[in-house]
Amino acid sequence: MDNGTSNSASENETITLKSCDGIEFHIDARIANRYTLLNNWNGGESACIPNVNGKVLEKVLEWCEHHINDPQLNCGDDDSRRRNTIIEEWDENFLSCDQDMLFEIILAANYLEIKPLLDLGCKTVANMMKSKSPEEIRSAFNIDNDYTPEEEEQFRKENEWAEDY
Amino acid sequence: MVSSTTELITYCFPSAKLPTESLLTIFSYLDHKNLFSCLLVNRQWCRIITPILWSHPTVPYNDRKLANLIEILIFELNDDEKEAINSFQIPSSIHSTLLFEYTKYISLINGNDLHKGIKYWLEIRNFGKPTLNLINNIKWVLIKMILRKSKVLIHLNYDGIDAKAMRGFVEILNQTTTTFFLTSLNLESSHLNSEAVKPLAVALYANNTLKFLNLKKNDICCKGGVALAETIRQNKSLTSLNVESNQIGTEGGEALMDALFRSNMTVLNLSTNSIRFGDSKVEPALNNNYLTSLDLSSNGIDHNEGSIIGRVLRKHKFLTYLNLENNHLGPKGGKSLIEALIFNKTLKYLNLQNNTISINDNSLLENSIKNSNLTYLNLGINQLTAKNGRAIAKVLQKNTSITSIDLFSNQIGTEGGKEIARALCVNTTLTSLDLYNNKIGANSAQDFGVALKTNYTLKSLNLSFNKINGGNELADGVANNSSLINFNFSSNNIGSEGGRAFVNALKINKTLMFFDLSDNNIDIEVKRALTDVRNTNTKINLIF
Repeated sequence: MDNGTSNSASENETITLKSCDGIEFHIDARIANRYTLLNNWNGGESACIPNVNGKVLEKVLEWCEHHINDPQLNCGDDDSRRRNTIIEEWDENFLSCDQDMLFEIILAANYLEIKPLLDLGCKTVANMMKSKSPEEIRSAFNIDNDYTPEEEEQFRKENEWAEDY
Repeated sequence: MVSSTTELITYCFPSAKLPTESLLTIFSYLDHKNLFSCLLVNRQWCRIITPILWSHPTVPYNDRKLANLIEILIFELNDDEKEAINSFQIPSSIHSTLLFEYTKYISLINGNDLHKGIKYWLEIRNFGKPTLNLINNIKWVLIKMILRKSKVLIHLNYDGIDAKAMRGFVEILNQTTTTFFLTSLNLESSHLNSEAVKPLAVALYANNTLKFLNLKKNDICCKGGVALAETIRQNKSLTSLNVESNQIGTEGGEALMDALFRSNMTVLNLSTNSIRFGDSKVEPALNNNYLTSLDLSSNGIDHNEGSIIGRVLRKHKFLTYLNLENNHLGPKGGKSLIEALIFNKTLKYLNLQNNTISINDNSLLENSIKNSNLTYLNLGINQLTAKNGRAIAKVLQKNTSITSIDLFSNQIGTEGGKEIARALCVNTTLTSLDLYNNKIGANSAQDFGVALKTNYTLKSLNLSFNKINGGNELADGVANNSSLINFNFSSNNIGSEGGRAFVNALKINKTLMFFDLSDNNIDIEVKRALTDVRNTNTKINLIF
């Protein structure tokens, strides 16, 4: 376990992670070095990552592998992050999975503290909401409308200043 | 209907139980109009989104929408405040209760937005053309209400605050019962004189939230400066003060500098205040503080004061930004400041524009720039020569920390220009270079053409007003360049032949977004061809 946390992991070093349904993954140790939480489950014979199943973990690790050489960004600069809603082509293809999987990836990224993947997932969901009417958003995410018509009308009026113009 | 967000989160999306932070992240990527759609999805979404949407209630350039906003704010007034509005003969509307107390989520408010909104709101309600006084009065009632209700109001932009509102604001500051959240207060361009600013200065002694205070373009004079100096001493939270253009004068300026001693201030802007430091005052003031940014531009600072600032700068460990533009540093002051760069390791931004600086010692100039940690250096409008240009070119042949250098309106000439162009062929750190008006001349055209072909890091280049001619050479450079975004080649007498060369180059170039070819004696036919280029490539802003 100590070996995994060293920063000098070479390219050939691998570590083993096990999903909650018992599927094993052998991954480049540099990935675990980038995302410290992955290290917690490294090499444990019986240790499984709770809450993340094999199907989802496979996707998450695929993403990590692709982005292994990305520069490590300082988080915190919220404004510049917000300005940039552009998603790279590879990431876009990667996340054009079904909605359930997309939410599973967000949850896993949140759970495993893989911030760039979490942001990417959130950005993708946000893009799915853009330029849609409330009704279109409801049907896109299968959400029931629990407003009374009067209530909805009043809300619309009270927030009219923000409406599209 | 109002309730805390957390408990509701889990069933926000039927398909996933996303945690609060993720939902907030998702919504943070959406602008007002998209948030508006989300708000109307269902009750749960509404509870999460309302605080986000109302945190920055601004609608730029749309007075009608601002009037909608004013309408809602008016509904939230309490009886006293409504009474105040009524006293202006404006009947405040009778309305059933709002679904939310929106005001309590406001974290930023722009007085100017309110101003426009109120004006439009009054107009559509047939109150005719409202007087400035009426608008100001209503604006203050609304801001007072927001100050009372919002527990998250941290940014208040109240430029153009009137005397009545100023008194009211200070009164609120002085009430011991007020809880205050503001971290940033902008009172720019408000005609505040020393009498108006003194009560504010005193009221801020005990304040412990305000970090940024902007009093730019007022009339606070010496007495106001002295009063604020005491605020700097007493207040424990203020880190940034802008008193640009306030006629503070030497005494007020010295008081402010003195007060920096052991204060928490990191940013001070004293630009355009006719401040002349005596020979000794500035040294201890600068030596004993944690200042990271100091703006002393346009103050008539002379070579003696400049020398002292240079001496302090040598060992200053915090300053990253220093602006001394438009002073009278002269050769002596300039030398001292440039020399300081050899020793100083923290300064990133240095502006010495327009200071009648001439430099004889070229190895000093070279060493200083080479050893500095600067990323930006402005030596524009001084008396730099071809030899100085050569020294700078020598530094640029090796990569340095400098990414942006302004040398406009000097006498760099052909020799200096050629050397700098050659340096650009090997330099890969510079992203911006301004050589406007340097008598560079036609003999350097070849070198700059090659520089543009070879260099792949420069994003912005100004060679305007240099009689370079050389349309063919430069156009060849532009055709083969893929980093330049902003290129000014106006007033270089390239003629129609040069213009034609650029027409062809622009069909190949894919990166330029701003290109100025104006004032180049290009005939009407070539101008037509350039118009065609502009019409086909909508990405480029082409001027000719």
